[in-house]
Amino acid sequence: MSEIIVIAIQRDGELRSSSLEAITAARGVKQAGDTLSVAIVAANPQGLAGALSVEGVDEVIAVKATDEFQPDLIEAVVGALVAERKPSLIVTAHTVDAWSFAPAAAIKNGLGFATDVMALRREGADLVATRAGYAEKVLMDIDFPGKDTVLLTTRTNVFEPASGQGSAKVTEMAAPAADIATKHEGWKQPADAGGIDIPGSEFILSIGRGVADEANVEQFLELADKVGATLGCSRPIADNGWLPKARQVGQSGQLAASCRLYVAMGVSGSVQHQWGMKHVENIVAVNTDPEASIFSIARYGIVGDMFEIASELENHF
Amino acid sequence: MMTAVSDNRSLDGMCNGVALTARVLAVGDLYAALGIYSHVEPAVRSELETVILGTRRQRLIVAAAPYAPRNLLDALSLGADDGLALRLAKNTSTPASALRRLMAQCSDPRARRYLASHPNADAAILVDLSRDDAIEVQQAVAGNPATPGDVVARLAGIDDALIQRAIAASPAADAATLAKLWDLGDDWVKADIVAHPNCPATLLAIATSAPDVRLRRKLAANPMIDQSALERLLTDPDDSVRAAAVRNPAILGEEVDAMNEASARVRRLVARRPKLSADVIERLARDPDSWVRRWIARHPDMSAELLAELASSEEAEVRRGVARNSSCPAHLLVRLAADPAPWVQAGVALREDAPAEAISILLNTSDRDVLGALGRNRNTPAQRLVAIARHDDADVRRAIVFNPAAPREALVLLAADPYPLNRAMIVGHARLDDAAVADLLDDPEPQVRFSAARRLARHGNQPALKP
Amino acid sequence: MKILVPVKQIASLDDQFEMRDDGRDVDEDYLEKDLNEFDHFSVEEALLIKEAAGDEVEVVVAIVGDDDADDALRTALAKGADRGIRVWDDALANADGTSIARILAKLVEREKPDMVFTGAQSSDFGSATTGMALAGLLGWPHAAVVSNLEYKPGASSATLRRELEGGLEEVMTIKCPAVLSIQLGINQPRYASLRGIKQAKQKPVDELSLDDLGLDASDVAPAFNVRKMYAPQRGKAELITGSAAEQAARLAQIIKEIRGM
Repeated sequence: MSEIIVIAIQRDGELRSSSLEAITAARGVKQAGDTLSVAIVAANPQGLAGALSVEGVDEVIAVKATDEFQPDLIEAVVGALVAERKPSLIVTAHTVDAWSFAPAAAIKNGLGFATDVMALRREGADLVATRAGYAEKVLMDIDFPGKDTVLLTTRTNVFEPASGQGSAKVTEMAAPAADIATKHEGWKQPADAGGIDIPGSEFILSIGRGVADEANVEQFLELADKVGATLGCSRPIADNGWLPKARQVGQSGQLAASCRLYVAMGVSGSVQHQWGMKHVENIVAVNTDPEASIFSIARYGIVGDMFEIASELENHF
Repeated sequence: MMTAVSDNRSLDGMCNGVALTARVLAVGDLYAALGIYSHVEPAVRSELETVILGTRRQRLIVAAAPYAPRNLLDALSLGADDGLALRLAKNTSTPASALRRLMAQCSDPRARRYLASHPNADAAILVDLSRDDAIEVQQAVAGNPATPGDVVARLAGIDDALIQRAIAASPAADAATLAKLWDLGDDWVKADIVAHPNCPATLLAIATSAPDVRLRRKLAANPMIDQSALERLLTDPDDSVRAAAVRNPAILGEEVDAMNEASARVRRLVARRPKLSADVIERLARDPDSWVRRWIARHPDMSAELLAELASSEEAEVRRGVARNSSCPAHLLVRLAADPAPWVQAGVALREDAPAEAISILLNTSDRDVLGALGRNRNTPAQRLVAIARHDDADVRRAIVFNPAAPREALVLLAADPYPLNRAMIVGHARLDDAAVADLLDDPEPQVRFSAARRLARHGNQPALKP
Repeated sequence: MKILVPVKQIASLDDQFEMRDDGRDVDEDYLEKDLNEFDHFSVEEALLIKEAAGDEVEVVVAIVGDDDADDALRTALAKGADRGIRVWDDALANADGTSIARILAKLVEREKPDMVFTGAQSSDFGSATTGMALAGLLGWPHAAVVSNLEYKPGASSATLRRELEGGLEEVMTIKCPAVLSIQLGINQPRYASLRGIKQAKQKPVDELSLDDLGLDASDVAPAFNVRKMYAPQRGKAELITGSAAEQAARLAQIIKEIRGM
């Protein structure tokens, strides 16, 4: 019999859907007799309580404060919840907001702690979490011996968002005193720069040495245009003057900072190139050499000829 | 240092590379040792091996390194443990002798799959591996272009989608094998068979009138297709089929000339064809589609008049095409050197045939792409190359690496460049003297130490031992 | 005026590897060590402040690690940091971000910096823990994933942007001293010059033990325990097989899915 608390997160008064994913993760390890509560800090927390009252949630803890993200405030809320309710587990989504408050909240309260958890289960009485290591090349099963309370952040887009109508009671909690050291000043939308914008591009099609000749470069500019990508390239292509340096991805070139999809064609994947793109979530590598190092960081691999794939791809757009 | 080098030169032939080897052994550096390994006497190699193969970590690094000398990889394959065997099987530099040894001693299907797709695997290895129990190994054998035709024919009988696809694309698949595969394979396999140069004529005929557009598209790409079929495909209702036909090298000029093509996609491909009539070129130069104009601007058969017309285009990419056109006359290059778009100027700056007047206009630039192009150009004045070697941007500085006429001062700057890759690459420059290269034997970057040591060993030269 | 930049030596793993006998980590033979990628940016940010302000700013880099970690520390020193601190004790073999934070809190007591910059996360384990846990222990203002910073040495506040999901940035002011975790792309990190590399060998590095900091092994116990480490069932890359036409069809599907088309 213990309590599990999910810390839900809003931005500008709007609930982050990853909070519902964290509820799913928590629900999965809820045992008979456990209660599941969800805490939300907002200017109008009651207004968000309905969306959080999903199946399996017993209580929504509404903390009326501000919509501004203040790590100090959330940490004070976690501290108060630990002191008052002695939960066995606290879960929040691994969002950038959580990066700010979760480690501080964990260490201040001496909690068991792990971030970016991809799976969660019970083994007997033990809570066992799975997270990745060595740049996702391994997985680790971890536990928290001797810890009464464990705080976990759960990887986003892994757990299904919780759904199903629940019947949670709503409890108001006064915002605890906190020394607030940050002040929200505004938002800055991602730049929508015209021209060549590798750092701002969400979708990059990149070519490397495999393109072989300046005369072949134009068709990939055309392909990028057709599929809605920004064309990037590896160092040798820019060194040869075949594409502007503004398109060069990698160390000493551009960082694919906003990229969500990176299709690398004929790029071997030198350390220098990887430096600018290996963090991208969806990398597709197209290369004739199955041992090209680009495949080691790709999510999808195509062993094949970049020209053949490119001309076939055109038939789909 | 200079004295030491010239002294050593006088001893050339007697103690060739001895000082270099002694220094590499004294420092015990893995990468420098790898760099000189192939260039020293066999007796010295065993000494180097104590440096190179000293720890298991080092053996693993070497086994995975495509730049490792072949004879060293061969030596490593003797009694290799599983971890080493896997790396050697994967390493594209591993020689056939080592592959054969690994095949005999290694049962891990992952490693055997690497062996089966290895570019150095010879026919004997592939014949052996084709009888492996694991389907992944057989798939890799089927996909290896070195696999002999009789093995391919035998594998064609296996009911496996990936083996069938590999065979449909294999250069060793003959007409009989392809005919057999036609009866077994799905539509994707049939499409690849139709594109195969050895595809039997009966199957080509079926594909000519096939309702499946994939088949007609692949047929249109077959270099062995006959003219009448090709002409028919050039008027295919589907533009992807016409596009494939226009790309077919078997096509003659006239059919394309006669095309009245509605699809911009196909006209772009026409503009890329090597031989075009003057009429077609003129029509394409005034095409409403900007990509067509970009392509035709690069066409070597463009007349001076049309190039001049496109050099005044409002689109910078079209003007860039003119600047890169090998037929572009000198006076246009001078005009484009003063183009408002730096990317067009850079197109001129790359040209070794750009007139002096164009180069002198370009020297006013501060644009990175133009500077990078000037840095490669052997006609750029020496003092400007030195300035480029001092530029803030590592990518601009690196252009010096590609300039065979770069002055020594610029080369020495690159040899001390803060960006490690620039140091690694300048080591290969023919005009950089060995004394400057010897300093790089102490470089913090393994890649630089490797390149420096290899270059010195190749030159049979030897820097003085550090005190 | 002093900026403390804690850095980490990360380990990258070869594509094929074997586990250690106890199954709780990989065989060390398969690891390559290097300075954490994010730390190039945090060090650079400190150096930019130092250079803009003249030499009265001291940049101190700190690392927790054994002799091997000296290389990563020297890399940071070669870029221009003034001096280094290395803390090690065999009891730290299983240290996690919270253990490191407890050591760093002691270093902050000793050094009394005006700002602390860490990398936003490490490129091997990506826990994103150390910096913000340190702030929690110190009770200092803190912000994670900082993508832009305006700060004058000695000022009582700074203006920063933190990079949120989808590239959106929040502009905020923060009281100083503060602990900031620095995001990739905030600046253009420099490379050490060969001269810088030679000079780094002469720069002072304090080597400290847990005892020197008044800590014992129980103070730095990690917040989790690794039961076992293992390779994922399927490798990271999903191989798209088939003929070129099939592969391209699948690629088109992937593009359309991710682009929400």
